[in-house]
Amino acid sequence: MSLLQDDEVFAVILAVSIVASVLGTVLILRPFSSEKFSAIGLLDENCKIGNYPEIAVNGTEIKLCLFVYNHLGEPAYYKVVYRIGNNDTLPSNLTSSPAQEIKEWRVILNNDENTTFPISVPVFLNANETDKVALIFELWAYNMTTGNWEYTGLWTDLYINVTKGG
Amino acid sequence: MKATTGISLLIIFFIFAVILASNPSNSQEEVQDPFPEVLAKLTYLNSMGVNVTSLVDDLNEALMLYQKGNISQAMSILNEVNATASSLLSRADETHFRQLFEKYTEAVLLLSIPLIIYVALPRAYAYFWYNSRKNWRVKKK
Repeated sequence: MSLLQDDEVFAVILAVSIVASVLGTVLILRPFSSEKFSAIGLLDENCKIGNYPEIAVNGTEIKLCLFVYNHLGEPAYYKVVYRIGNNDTLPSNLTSSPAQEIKEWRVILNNDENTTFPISVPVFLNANETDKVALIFELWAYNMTTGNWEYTGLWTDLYINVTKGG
Repeated sequence: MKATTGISLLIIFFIFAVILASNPSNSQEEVQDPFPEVLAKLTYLNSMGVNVTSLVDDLNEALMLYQKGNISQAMSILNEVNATASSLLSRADETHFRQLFEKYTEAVLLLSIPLIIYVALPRAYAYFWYNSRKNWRVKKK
């Protein structure tokens, strides 16, 4: 009759059960408060990190891969905008690049889902650019409330030397 | 004189028409994009606790086809997803309230465990303790 005779043992069992039940209840009732974010990544033509092209002939296309990840807590509609720029036209975390949009790719992702897809992008020199250009990839997300595309502040770039070719 | 003015106006009109045709504004493009409307329904359903994973995947497949220029097949999938989403919208509230009920029932059950232990454990322990020993006999030494 140790349990019935010893109040301390019973008190410990009761305390453990109270802590466990309160903890379990909090975990069930707490709202989904995980940090919301998106991600973009640039990969080589085999869709892996590394082996990025360093030289391209003016006017040709190079192959790369794009990675996009959604962790916004809901399905999201993304587009990746491709521009060719230089040090002066790189985007920031707040504003997109002023360089002209050349190409875009759109994708719809579930929450906590990512996609990697191959792309082929044209590389050429603009009138005011030297032989080194930045291939800029910006991530935009569609805002369901406003009905507009909004720049996420996320971007990636690849510097490449452009040769005139034969 | 009138003929020259007419030709000039015609040329200006032609130039404007070419400019407008070659540079469609963003707003026109957004109006033509059929995907946000369907995705908005799926997002709402998702917020109500309805599992829309396969529908979002289908919508993405339609978007891929749309970008490749396979418009008819893309629109076919899009319309299917839209129809399914619309039918699920009527049951979204029911799903939401059922999930809320399940969640709070689970919480109440969890919170009642200490009370159950406090009330039932000593009694259950005593019951099994006496039951396991009810056939015992006392022997004289």
